[in-house]
Amino acid sequence: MKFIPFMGKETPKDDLELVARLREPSTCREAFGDVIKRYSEPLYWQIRRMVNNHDDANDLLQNTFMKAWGSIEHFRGEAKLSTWLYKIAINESITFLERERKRQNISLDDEESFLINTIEADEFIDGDELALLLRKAIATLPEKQRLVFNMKYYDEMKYEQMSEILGTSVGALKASYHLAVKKIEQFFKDRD
Amino acid sequence: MNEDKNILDKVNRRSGMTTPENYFADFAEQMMQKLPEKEEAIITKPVTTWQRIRPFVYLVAMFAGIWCMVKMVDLISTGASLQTDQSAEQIVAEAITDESFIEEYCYEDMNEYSIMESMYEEGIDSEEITNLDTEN
Repeated sequence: MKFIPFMGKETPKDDLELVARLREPSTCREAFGDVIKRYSEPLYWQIRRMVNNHDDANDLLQNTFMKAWGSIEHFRGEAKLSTWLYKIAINESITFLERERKRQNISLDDEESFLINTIEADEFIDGDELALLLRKAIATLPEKQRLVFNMKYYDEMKYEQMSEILGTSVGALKASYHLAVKKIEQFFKDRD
Repeated sequence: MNEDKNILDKVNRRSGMTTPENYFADFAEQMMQKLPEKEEAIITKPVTTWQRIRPFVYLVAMFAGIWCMVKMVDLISTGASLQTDQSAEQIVAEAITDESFIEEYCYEDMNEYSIMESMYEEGIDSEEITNLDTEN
């Protein structure tokens, strides 16, 4: 599995063409097929990094595309297609985690151990110890910092784009990322 | 921080996670099969008369509201100016200089006891007046 930057590979020109095809009833379905081909992988990794489990990530990715398909008429093209899809995927992931916390009666204080357990139970890992350790370090972060760190570090997303998706100011996002890096640094220091 | 950056560089953005074989290719195919058909014909609801005239009614109501507010402000400001035209002292001074006012508001209210009292203060004997009445 290779890392694929989400926004880095986005070509706005192609997206515009895709959006135009999505608006036409005759080409809408076929265009949506292209949307799935283009965005399933980056969206999957964003979801997977949030929920840490392939099966859950797979379900949430399906839900994301189902919701996108269900409300495609309401997508006016004011936001980027990728931003819109990312928003749906993140909302799905956050809602899922909240539901799981309630279902398993997990308090916010126990969330860290809950996430670490899901990482350790994950079947689809490549055996990279350092990567696994980094995942555990990320699991210690609060939800917002975790999101920001994943978007910045893995997806190399610009703060402006993150701001559109998360509805948070650029300054606050920079501060969140800085704090997240500090905490990860501390995590590795504590292990030495 | 540098040490952390080194660690992050070492990880080289690989998440350490994998997926089943051909997952993404299969996913796109399966997802397309699951997508429900879109209804192409959009059913449009008939527009009622109220829905048609509603904006105009709101506009008229808005102007009526503004007119009422202007009228109210005008009335309040006129009332305020009436109160400030003449001060209380001026009104009292005018009333005192008016003889009929004194008669109406002071003398008419005097009772017998107060007349007798003021006569006594003036040094007039009330019995003399009574005798004068009987003599006449």
